Amino acid sequence: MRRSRRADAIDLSQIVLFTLAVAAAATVLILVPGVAVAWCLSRRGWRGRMLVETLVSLPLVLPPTAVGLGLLLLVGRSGPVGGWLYETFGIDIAFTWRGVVLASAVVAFPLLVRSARSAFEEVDPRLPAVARTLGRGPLGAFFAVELPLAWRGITAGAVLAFARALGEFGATILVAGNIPGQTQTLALALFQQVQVGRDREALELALLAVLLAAGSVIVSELLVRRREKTLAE
Amino acid sequence: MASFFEIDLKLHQGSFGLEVQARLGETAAVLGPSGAGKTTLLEAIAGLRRAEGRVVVGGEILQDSAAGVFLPPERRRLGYVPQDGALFPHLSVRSNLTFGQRRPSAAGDVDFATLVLALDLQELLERYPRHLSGGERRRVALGRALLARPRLLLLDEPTAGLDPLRARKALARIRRVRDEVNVPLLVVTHQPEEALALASDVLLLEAGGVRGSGPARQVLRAPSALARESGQHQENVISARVVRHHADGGTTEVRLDGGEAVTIPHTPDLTEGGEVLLSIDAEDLLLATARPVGLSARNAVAGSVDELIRVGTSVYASVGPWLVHLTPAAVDELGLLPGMPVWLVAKTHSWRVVAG
Amino acid sequence: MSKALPGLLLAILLLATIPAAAENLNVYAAASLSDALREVSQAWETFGGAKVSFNFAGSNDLARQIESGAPAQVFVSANREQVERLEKAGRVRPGSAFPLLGNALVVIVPGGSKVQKLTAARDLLQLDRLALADPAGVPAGVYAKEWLEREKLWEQLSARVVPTLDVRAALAAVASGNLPAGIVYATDATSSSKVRIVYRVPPEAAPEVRYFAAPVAQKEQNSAAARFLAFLRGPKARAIFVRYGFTPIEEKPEG
Repeated sequence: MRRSRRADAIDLSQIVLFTLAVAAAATVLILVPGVAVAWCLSRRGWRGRMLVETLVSLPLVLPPTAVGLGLLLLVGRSGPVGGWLYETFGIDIAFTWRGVVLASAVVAFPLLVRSARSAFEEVDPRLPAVARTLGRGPLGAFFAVELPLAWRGITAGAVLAFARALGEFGATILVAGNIPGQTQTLALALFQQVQVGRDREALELALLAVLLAAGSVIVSELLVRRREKTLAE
Repeated sequence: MASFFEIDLKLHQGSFGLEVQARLGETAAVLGPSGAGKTTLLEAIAGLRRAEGRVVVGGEILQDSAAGVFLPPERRRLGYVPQDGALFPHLSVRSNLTFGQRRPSAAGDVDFATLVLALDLQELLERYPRHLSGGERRRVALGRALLARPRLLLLDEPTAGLDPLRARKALARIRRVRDEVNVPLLVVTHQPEEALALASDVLLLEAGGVRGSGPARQVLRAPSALARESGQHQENVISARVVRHHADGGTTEVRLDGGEAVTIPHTPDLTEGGEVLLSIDAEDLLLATARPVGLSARNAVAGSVDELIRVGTSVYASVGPWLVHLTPAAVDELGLLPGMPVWLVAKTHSWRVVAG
Repeated sequence: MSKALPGLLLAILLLATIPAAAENLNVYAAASLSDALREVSQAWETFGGAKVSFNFAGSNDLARQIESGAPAQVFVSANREQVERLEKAGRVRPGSAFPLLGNALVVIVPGGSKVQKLTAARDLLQLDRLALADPAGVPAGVYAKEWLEREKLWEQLSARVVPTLDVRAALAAVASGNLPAGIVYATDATSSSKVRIVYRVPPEAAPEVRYFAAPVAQKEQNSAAARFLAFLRGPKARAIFVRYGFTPIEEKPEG
């Protein structure tokens, strides 16, 4: 994707690779906590369950900009977490790639949790119980029985989360800003090109976005089919 | 001497309450109607449900709330076989079977090959649970529990949903396993025949409470039990050995444990010389004060009246191991009294094979 | 009766908006003018003028919207470039635009920052991040970039720049303490008590900041637009602009 070397030319390959890398990082980041939270929510009758359910669903229902604002207040240099991180380790989250990963992770989290939770709820509760009687501890039973049986739902949730992270804009632009080469994802780059009036570049980016989105849908379909094949044997 | 099972449990869940106190021997059955709390009790013993109280099995304390002891399920070493098996759908039969096996194996472990042969699972090893029939699944579940070297087997309704032929095969299999592997057994069932077939002690459970516990016959034949079950058939279950099949005559000849010869309906799938468990209803037995002649009934067994139990408008005569259901009129007419020698008469077709 | 109430309310609302739409004056203006222009429009309205509706944003953003047909009637841009863009697009009649105000650039830091006054432009290098209205198009950012290029500092500083949507967003980022420094107009800096000016860009070092105003060509020529623009050049408006820190330009409209 070579372009005329104008000083302000957009580096398409960098933007695409960055977008993919950030979405992947966000998905990986939420995988373990998401599955854990999903499993907890699939158990009934514990105090605080409704509260956790609500908190987890918030990023899904809130406008992404509200999520972004909340995150900025938290991890900006003048925020409690961001301030501490900067004072102690010299690490910046806001306006860096870490902010992009964080914003994507937060908005994608509820999608993973929902899918994984349904998957866990569909597991026959007698199965992990039997695994316990056969000598597995609670964690052993989880890994040997519940996790494999819920895997399809978890994977579907992860792909959904990845797709959401790919297209995330509102929270990202508030937490990480639109800094070319540093925090500019495909969605943000598109926005900037429109802002500065470069419609042709904007359209190119939009087409790339379509390709990426279609690509992730195809991958998820392939994953689902492969799983169906192995189960049907 | 301490009993094998010492159960002292209390559990409350919503509107359901369970309170069980019992001392039972190595083979025991929990008998009761559905909703009595049998499965709940089983789960509590397995440690899958938290109940208050004390459970001691074979001298080992599994839980003692007063002492703050609660062994989690994975430490109780109980082979739990739920209704219809609960096999792991994502694992092959082989992987299901070996799931609970201890590594490294110790002396006294059931050998994999032997067990597969004993339960007739060779063909199924590489298949997946969704391709198995109900009976096959149960066999695999039984094998899986046994391979984990449990200190006892907990069976939940082992023949639920099986047709009579498969049910008796299943019971015969469980009896064989019980005797060969020598593993204690706690069976949950709503069928008295099953309890009698598998266990020597019985716990009667109804609405979360104990109605009676102790040796099976004693509990089931207690007047209170008989009174409650008026309108139900009382079964007599007895062991026998197959002598010979008579295809033309439509019968199979067996010899009861007591030595008496009895004919049952022709059942060609039973092996000659093999062990079989028979059942006949108390309602289907006739009493004669003299040896009967000129009757179509092929079976007559000698005995003497031990006891006459009056329950409502019925009389139950206890003749050795047999319970006979009579009308008071018949008792008066025959002048039956305890100690009298009598003949028990039964039709061939009244006999059922319970396990075999 | 209660069933008719919602319908009645809706009808009243609709009726209320119609005359307002006819009278409203849509003014699209650079973000840095928000406080000053609002006060000016209040004076204008007490003077008997039509009710003004504002759209404040980066001038490039506004120009894009007007290009796409937004119903602006007056456009006040923070540089000439965006007005020329609209002249090319046929939304502004050539010759109808005129320079209105001047401004200066300053470097700001959050109120609680430990950074002391900078003695020279080079001192900017001690700052690890810099908030700027997007230098790719927003005038405040374009001016700032030009200044830094003149000082030969742009190469080193460009990687530290955090581009924001407009100059007020850059101000807000510094005011919240989330970014350690920024370059905004002097008028923006004085509008917030949460920032401190650490350097005033000398006028000879910086590019000249000039705001241009123009009527936007609409299907129905709005006389209120012309009168409003005249008001902007008048003494009452000038006094208000001066108070906010702008320097009014006393030039004749370009011919």
